[in-house]
Order: sequence, then C-alpha cells, then structure tokens
Amino acid sequence: MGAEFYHSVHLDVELCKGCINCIKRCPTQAIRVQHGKAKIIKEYCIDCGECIRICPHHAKSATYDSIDILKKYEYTVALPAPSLYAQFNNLDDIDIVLSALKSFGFDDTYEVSAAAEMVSEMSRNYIKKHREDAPFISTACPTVVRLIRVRFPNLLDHLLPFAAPVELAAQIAVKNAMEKSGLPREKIGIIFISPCPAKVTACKDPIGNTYSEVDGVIAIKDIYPLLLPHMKSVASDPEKCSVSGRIGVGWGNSGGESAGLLTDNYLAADGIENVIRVLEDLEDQKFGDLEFIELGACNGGCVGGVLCVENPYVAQSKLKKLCKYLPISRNHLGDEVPQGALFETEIEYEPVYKIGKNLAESLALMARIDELCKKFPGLDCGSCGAPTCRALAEDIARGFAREGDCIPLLKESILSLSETISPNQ
Amino acid sequence: MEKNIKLSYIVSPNDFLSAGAVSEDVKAHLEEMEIDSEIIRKATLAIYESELNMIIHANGGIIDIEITPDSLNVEAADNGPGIPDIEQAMEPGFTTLKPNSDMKAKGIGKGRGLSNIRKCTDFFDIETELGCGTTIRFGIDLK
Ligand code: SF4
Ligand code: SF4
Repeated sequence: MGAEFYHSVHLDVELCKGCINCIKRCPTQAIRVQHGKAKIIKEYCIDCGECIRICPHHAKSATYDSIDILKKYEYTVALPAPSLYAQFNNLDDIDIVLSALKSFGFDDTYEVSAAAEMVSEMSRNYIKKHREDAPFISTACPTVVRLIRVRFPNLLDHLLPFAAPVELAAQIAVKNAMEKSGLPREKIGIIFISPCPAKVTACKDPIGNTYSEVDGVIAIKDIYPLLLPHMKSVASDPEKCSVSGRIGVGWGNSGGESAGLLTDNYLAADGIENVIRVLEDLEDQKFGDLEFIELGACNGGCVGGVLCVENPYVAQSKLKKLCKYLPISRNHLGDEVPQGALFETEIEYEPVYKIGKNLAESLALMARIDELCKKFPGLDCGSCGAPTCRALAEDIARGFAREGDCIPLLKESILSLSETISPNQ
Repeated sequence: MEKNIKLSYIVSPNDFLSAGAVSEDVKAHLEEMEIDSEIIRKATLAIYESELNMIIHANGGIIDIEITPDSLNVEAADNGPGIPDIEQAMEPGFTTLKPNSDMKAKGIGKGRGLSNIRKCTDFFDIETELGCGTTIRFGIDLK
C-alpha cells in the first residue's frame, strides 16, 4: 500500500455537535463519531462531498486555495471547469465569463472544455481499437476512480487510461503561458476553478500520475460573486477567447462525456448511490455489451458538485441551453496523443477494507465480527457512532472501539444489573 | 479460537427480489478478507447460480457455507423435484424451462446454471433423488 490517502474534505471540530447525521450518509462508511465528535477515516474517504451536503451544522468543508493564491505568481492562467458556465443566469456567450476572469485579474484563460474535446477524441479512438476489452469506465470523476481503487479491484482494468481533462488543460496552459510571458515555470500559476473537493484532491494528490501541473485550485462558489460585476462590465464587448464547442462544454452535465463519444451503446449514471449500484452490477457481470460507462458521483454530473452555487438541475438546463448554439467541437488532436493526457502509472488496488494480515487472521477476526453482530440488536441506530452494527463490530475487531459502545446493549446490561441489585422493583 | 466461519441461509421459492442476497452477503465477507479478487468473483458467481436454481426450479432450500483457511465450501440443498438425468443437466445450455416460459423473457434459466457452477469451482459434487430434491456441494480453494 503505497498511497498517502490525502483527502480534501475535513471536519471543523469546533462546529461539530456529534449529531451523527453524517455517518449514515457516507457511501464508504468513512465517518465515526467518537467522544462526541465526528472523525473521517482517511483511507476510506473518497471526497464525494456527501457529508458536506448533509451536515446541519456546517462542520464539514473542503480544503482548497483562497483567491489570494493569484498574488503568489507573476503570471496566472485560469482553467475554468465547464460547470462554471452553468452558474450564471441568461448567459449566452462564454466569452463574457472568460473576459471577466481576465478583468478580475487572471492574465489568461484556458478552458478545461477545450482539453475535454481532445480527451473525447482520444477516447473514441481508444475504444475503437480495444473493443474486445469493453466496457470502458470514464476516469473524469476522481471520486469514482478512488471508489473503484478501494472497492472494485476487478474493474480497474476497465478504466480508460486517461487523466481527467483538467490535467491536459494544465499542460497546454503551461506551454502557452511560457511562450506568451517568457517567464520561467515557477513564476506562472495555473489555477483550476473547481466544482468539487474531489478535483482538489486529484490535483494535490493525483493517482495515475506522479504530479499535477495545476498549481492552485479555487472553488466556483468563491469566485462566483467576485466575477459578477466584471461580467457586467465586459458584457457589451467581450474579448473573443473561447475555444471550445458543444462536446467540451457538455462534459459538465451527466451524459455529456458519453455524448462526445458519438455512440449509443453507453450508460451514464450520476449520484454516488447510483454509481455504486452500477459498479456492483458491473462487477457481477450483469451488463451485456456496453461500450462505455460514464459515472459521476454528484447528482446531475459536475454541475452538481458541492462547490457550485446553482441547483444542479437548473444548472444542467442552463448548460444545455448554452451548448445549443455552439459548434459541435473546436479542438482536434494532432498526429500524436498529447503527453500527459495518459496515465503514467497503473492505478493499483488499495485493499483498505481488508482485515487481518493473512487469511487465517482474517478468518478469526471475521468470525469474531459475526459473533458480535449476533449479539448486537441489529438496529443500525448509530448511537455508538458507527454507521451500522456491523461497522461497530468491525471497529471492535480492528481495535478501534469497545463492546460497551453499543448503547442498547449497555442499557440492557444496566437494566439487568439493577434487577440483580434490587430484584423487587 | 474457532477458525472457521459458518453461514447459513434459507432461500424461499419464487422470490426473485431476494435473488443475490446470499451471494452478496458472502461476497461482503470475502471482500474484507485476504482473498484474491478473482477467487471472490468466482465464488460469488457460483453461489449466485445455485441461489437462482433454488428460486426458479427447486422450491427453495437451504444454503450452508463454511469458510476455512484453505477453502470455501458450499452445500446447497433444495426441495425440488430432483434431476432425472444429471449428465444432461450438466451440459451447458440445458434448461428445464419451457420455451415460452416468462422466466426466459427475464433472461433467467438460460441453462448455464450447473455447468457454470462447475466451471467456477475446484470441487463439485451433485446428489439427487427424484421427488426429494437435489444437493450440490462445491468448494473453491482460497489459497
Ligand atoms: S453531521 Fe457529522 S460533522 Fe456535522 S455536526 Fe453532526 S456529527 Fe458533526
Ligand atoms: S467526503 Fe464522502 S467519502 Fe469522504 S467522509 Fe464525506 S461522505 Fe464520506
């Protein structure tokens, strides 16, 4: 296990009231409440953002860079995710957003959607060439890739071998910026404007690549209010700088990446629960001859990311409208596949859920877990701070919790104790 | 400490909605142990097939599972009519469903059942008595 398990979602201990609302919502059972405070088990967290959405006390948030990061560099390039465009009302021209980013303080922009169009072309070629190994699973959502890496080892071979479009966008942006500014690499800041914490993690701790050219990640929700006045002032005469078409911009919605493959033989699922169901069925080989599987952890696709401001479904419709008048695609691959669009290393299985160092040890621990489960009331009430009775049993077997943490069991034993002491009551 | 895990499940007849419940539970157990994922895949498939067999053809039954440090052993005893010709039933593609059965429309009973189980397992044995039921036993090496 070589992985570091960086994750971007974290807890503000001060704000956490230990209300256990989050523990059941986490799709990987990564949260425990102990001593009245939530705790994220870093090996299990896939940065899906569900706990940020559910926490009534706003105790969960994502780590990302503040807008001030622009000051660290002499020359900055903004890489807007297509989901950024979906946040604004009545936007009919992407150039307004891009010009506003420049007016706000960036020296240049490079749209992630432009790189996405190249990834679409690469995917089309790749799938055609390797049809016998289908279905292929999209690697655009880092949460999905992380989920597969810890829970679905059989499916790792089905992942497309491409990094998410933002990586390719960053590489192109670096090259352009160095040519335009004449500055050395370290004075240039490549700043991604992200819809979700998972993409923050993917830039800070990439899997499949050893490093990322993205220097900073800021949240759509942070830059949104700052951009509005600039958009107003540039709206009448924006600079022509958009370089992407319908296929690229469409990536922001669920189904968009599939649309770029120009095949009907695909499945697109969004929302983490749905994604897990599809992966389980895929693992059990319950699907026929699909070519492509697009999976996005957030409802609606990237437009549903937890760092966005607009309602995902409203954003979806806005993005669709915006795409309507765009040319289909405006980017084509040259003769060769761009370096850096491909994963450098294979993504390896991380068996974080395995217990025991060898089979005999796992068996013994598993037997203990089954035994404990029989003893527990099976209410999955969460009072112990674990999401299910079984999760508590596993924690006990791993040495992280005690039998006495089960509140109904404790109550029972107190009751029987008091009956032995004063049997007549 | 007792080193083996024993699991026992009752499978109800014609309960399609629960098909997969046994294999999923066993899979969840195996996935947390130090076991190769390819072995888990085979085990899940074999158990799923025997579960389906019980639900569709055999009036339900009982599946007993034992996991030892060496192997996963399954005994699936059904309440079905028994199999008149085992040789024939073991052929890939054999099914007792009538051609117009609506189960076929669901993609069930393509007749891969028994031969599929045998393909996935390292040990396979079948015992049947007409009018009483069929018991299949199979094992998969875990090492
Ligand atoms: S939902 Fe979780 S993080 Fe939020 S206050 Fe409750 S226990 Fe703490
Ligand atoms: S971000 Fe998702 S995986 Fe991580 S702790 Fe929160 S709910 Fe669980």
